[in-house]
Amino acid sequence: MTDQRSDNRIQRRNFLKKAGGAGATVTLASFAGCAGGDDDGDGEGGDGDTETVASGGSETVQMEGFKVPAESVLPQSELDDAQAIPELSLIVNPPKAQPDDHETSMFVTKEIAKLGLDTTVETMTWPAQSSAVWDGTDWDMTFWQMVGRPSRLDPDEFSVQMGHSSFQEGYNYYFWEDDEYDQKVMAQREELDQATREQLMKECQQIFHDRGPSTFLMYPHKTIPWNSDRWEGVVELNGMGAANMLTFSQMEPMGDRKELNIAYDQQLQALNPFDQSGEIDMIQHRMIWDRLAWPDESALPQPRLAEEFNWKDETTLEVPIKQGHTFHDGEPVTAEDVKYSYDIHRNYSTYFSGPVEPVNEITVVDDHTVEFSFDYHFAPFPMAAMGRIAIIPKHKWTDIIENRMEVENPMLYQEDTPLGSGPMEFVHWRSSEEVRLERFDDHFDPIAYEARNSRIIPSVQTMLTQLENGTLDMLANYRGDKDVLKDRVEANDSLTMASTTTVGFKQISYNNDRPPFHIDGFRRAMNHRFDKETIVNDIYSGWGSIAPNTLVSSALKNWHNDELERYEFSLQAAANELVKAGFVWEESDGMLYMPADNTEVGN
Amino acid sequence: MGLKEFVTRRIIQIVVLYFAIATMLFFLFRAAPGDPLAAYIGTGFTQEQAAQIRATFGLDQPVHVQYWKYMTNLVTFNFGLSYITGDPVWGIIQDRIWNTLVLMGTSVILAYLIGVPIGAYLAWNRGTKRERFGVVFALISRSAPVFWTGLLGIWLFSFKLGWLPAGSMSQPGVTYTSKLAQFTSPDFLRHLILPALVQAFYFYSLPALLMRNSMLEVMNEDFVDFAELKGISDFSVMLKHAARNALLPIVTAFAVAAGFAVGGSVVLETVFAWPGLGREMVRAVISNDYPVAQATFLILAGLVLIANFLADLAYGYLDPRITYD
Repeated sequence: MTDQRSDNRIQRRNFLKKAGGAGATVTLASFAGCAGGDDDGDGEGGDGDTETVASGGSETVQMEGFKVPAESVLPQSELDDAQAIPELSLIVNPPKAQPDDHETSMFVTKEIAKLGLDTTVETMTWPAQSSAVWDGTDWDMTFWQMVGRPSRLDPDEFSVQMGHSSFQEGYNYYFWEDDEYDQKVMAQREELDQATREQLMKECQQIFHDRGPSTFLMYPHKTIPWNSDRWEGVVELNGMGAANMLTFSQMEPMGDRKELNIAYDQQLQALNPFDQSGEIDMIQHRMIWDRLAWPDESALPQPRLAEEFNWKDETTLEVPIKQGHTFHDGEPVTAEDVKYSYDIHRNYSTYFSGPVEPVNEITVVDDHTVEFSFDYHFAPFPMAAMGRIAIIPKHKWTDIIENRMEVENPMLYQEDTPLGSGPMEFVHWRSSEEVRLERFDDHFDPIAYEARNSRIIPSVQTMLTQLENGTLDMLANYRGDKDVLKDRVEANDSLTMASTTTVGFKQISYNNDRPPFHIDGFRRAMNHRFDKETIVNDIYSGWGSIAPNTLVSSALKNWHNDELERYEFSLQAAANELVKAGFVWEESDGMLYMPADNTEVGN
Repeated sequence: MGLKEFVTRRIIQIVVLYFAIATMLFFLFRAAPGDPLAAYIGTGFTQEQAAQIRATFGLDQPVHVQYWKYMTNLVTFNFGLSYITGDPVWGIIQDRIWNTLVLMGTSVILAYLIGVPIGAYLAWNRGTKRERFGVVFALISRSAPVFWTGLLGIWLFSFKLGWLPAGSMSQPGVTYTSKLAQFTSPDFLRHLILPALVQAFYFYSLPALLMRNSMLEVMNEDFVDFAELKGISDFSVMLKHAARNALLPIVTAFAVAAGFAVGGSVVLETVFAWPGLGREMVRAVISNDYPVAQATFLILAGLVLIANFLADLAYGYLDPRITYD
């Protein structure tokens, strides 16, 4: 790790010394004030040529690639040690695990260093990164990725958990807080009118964008190839890609083979209705266990096992469920089962305990109707909870919880034969090899094929060969080189590929509770150092949509604020932000120093 | 020192070494950065909920208490619960180890069945073009990484010729009543051929080159000349006299190779989507699943220790001149 750090370190100080000692040249020039933009209009800083005096101008200093007012450049004697900025480290996974993320980090730290900073890239495995960032405070910047999941098709989950100040022990791991944001993001949650809710969400995005607690790079594309000679009915769901629950419930075989063979590169971690930690788990879940709701093709929640969502008033939601439906063992699905399913999440720590927190009571109205009472109107409930929480058979789980659990948490119990009421029944799960589900003929929305085999294939090449030779029908989470995939799909008439923008994102987060990132101007300056076109188009080969600074993906067209003005990639614009925030440069080596009156959090 | 005393002493050494390895593994994994329960904790759980889950896995206890529990459980082969799936580790290992043993066992046996005669043949033809070609080819096979030969094999036999399946242990959707039923099914055997051949291609050079060297030494012995002078055919001299006496280092190397083969299965299992112990070991290490990682390493260590022990015993048995002093 030490060697790695040493190799990756960008040592501005040494560079300047080699370049000739002085880091700045004093000149007289017009100073652009706080407006962004470089002088030559090439999107980057100037080449260091001296400027001429302009009428009415003030004295400026030419740094390497940007100019600052003379008063922002001070001798060492006028600087306090407390103003010094230590080496800034960017944590990212090793290149072997995430080559493009690592390359982006190397690229970005070099650009940031041009402002007069020492930067380094620190590689960590995911568990180490998670521990350092999630549980610790001793970090500066981190590369971070969130993936798209059905519940995230409503922007509430990301916007609240990653933006509200009360989640600083959770997803708001970068310690950002803004009172106005907090107020608006909670207001949208309680808003009955959809248009007003969307407007509030857009205002939240504007605040987040302006203050720049982290820099969003892209909303990655989900690229799914499949055998279109054999299958039709694939749905490209906004924000989720082609491998989604709508696809798997609507696909139809066009030939004799009635079994769908899909490849995943990671093994299933659990088949437990209270646990869902991976992509492969998510789909198996929705095939085995019904939900009250799931998304339509526009990613908006629609009734599934529920007949309708009936808001009786602001805090009472009545949900009638489909009558005559049964679990795979033939027992009827009743309102008692629904209440029981939700109560477990309220009584134990599970993945989905969060979305049921606003629920203060669940009442069984009759055999086929439940009523949810909330502490406040909770607008995201249909997608955040009803789209996620599996309906389980009370008659089976009562026995498990009372008699069989060795560990006091149903999330840690694995049924031998998972039992649900979804469109497919569990047949077998050979760990690291295959999960097989077969059609449940009595489902209210029966599927057209007989069985689904999820194959675990860790090698990208093997996966592709199996798709090409017809063993597989679809690659649900291809993570190899997408250009290679595209070429091979184009060379094979039986294959088709869909590439869809997801609701997930890649970002670089700043530790907002640590100098100098506690200063808005510094973070905004950081935001001006990201050449997102190069990052997305060259490093990621265009397999993503360039992101403005918002948690809400452009895939969510109703929610995404498309009026956000992207931070210009400009050294001068970044320097202007720093000047405005009171940062100064040391005159001999050009290193950046914090404002004397704002060196600590809380100043 | 007699055989009995030797065996007793070696068993004690193995037990001590085994527990030393177990201790080292315990502390090594705990020194690794990262929260092992990150897979469970972190998605909006409260501190109280996180503490509850930590307690479930005994991670709220001081390290020395965890160590004591771990060591006492080891005696009864209780490796605990996986941090990722929550399943008993022994169940996970049991399932995988058979898959690996069948694959690697087949490859090692194939490698020796092919390698030993080739080695004997090369030695018998010393100085010829055939010998030079054979040695160079064996070195090439040893130098070619398995992931590369594996992918070449898939490309050629699965993609181009369509003769063999491109990885996995069975056709999609096939259900077996037991492991034995699976391992004896034609479908499984068809899936076994390509990975076993690829691994055997890598392994065969070791017995081939060992056998060649050993044969070259034996061929200089007087009894070989004597057999030739008696008018026995070349083939009989090579097979019945020279090869039999040259087998000693091969037999001992076989035991050690079998032990190491299990640990070396990671790449092969990944390329061929083979759900074995090697893949499980890598997954467990990457995801900080300490109990599974510890158990897989311990089993590999155990296999290597036992294989070495058997090799020592075999050496003494096959060559009565060797004493246990």
